Amino acid sequence: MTVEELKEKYVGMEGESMQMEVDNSNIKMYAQAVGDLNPLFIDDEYAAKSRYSGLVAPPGFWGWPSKIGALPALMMEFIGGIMGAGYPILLDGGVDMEFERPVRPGDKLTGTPKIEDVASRTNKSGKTMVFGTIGTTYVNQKGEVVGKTHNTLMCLSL
Amino acid sequence: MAEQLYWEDVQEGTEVTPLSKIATTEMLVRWATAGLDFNPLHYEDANAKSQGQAGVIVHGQLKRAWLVQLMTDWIGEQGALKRLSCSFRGTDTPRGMAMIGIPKEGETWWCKGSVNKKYTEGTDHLVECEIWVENGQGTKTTPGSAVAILPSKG
Repeated sequence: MTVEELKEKYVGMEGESMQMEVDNSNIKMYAQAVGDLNPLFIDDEYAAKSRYSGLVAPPGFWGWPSKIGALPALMMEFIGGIMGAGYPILLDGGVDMEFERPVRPGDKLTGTPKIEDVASRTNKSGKTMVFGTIGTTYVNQKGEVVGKTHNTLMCLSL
Repeated sequence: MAEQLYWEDVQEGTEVTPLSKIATTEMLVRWATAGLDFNPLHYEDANAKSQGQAGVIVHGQLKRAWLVQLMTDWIGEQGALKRLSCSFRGTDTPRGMAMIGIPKEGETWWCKGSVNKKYTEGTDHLVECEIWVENGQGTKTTPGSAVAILPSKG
């Protein structure tokens, strides 16, 4: 499949929504994995007295791949499609995140992914790199958007 | 925590307070579990080699999380991060572990940044920063940008 054909097939395709339940322990585990000891994320007592009146998650806590459990089916299909078109080396190209509302323990988030773009570029060593971008909007249990991510996957020919 | 930063305290060119990080294989295991990213590229040398790497590499999203910390530490409790983007241009190899909890000698990474632009939008006081992660050789492996709201002294 050419890059044009990949674009034709995938751009605009939507995936099934993913659910994620937020609690104190998964926020703390995330903060500790990052090495981020900001008391707003790990110290209940401190956070209770802050402007947030309680623990909040670090911005981006909800972004892929965190807590989704597995790569969403849409991403798997997209990656498979690009790799199968002759670009078998997969790397994370980058991410663009928009933060709209704090995420707290007890929140139930729903993320809905959609394929936004397929593009290609030739690198210095003459290999073609294909970039696929998936956008995901995360909504909380009140229907409020908490944030959006745009993940770019990069696939290279051998 | 550091003293609260105000919008009036920063100018174009103001440095974002640097944050140092030591990536270790232990940290990668923690991140894999916390983020549920079980791509063997990040914990199995043989798999990483089959993908053209010298060995396991640091998750791009972990470096993104470091950059989020760079910004949230700097803007303080009264600030709010609005947007952050970064590109994973160069790979980073974590330090191995000497024993439980003790990393081997080796590379230290720095998250850094500087203010590109300072502006207002409605009642919000904003800053736009250039940010990046650099490795022990000073190479920017993860360049990016961020936008944050800072409190104003009014």
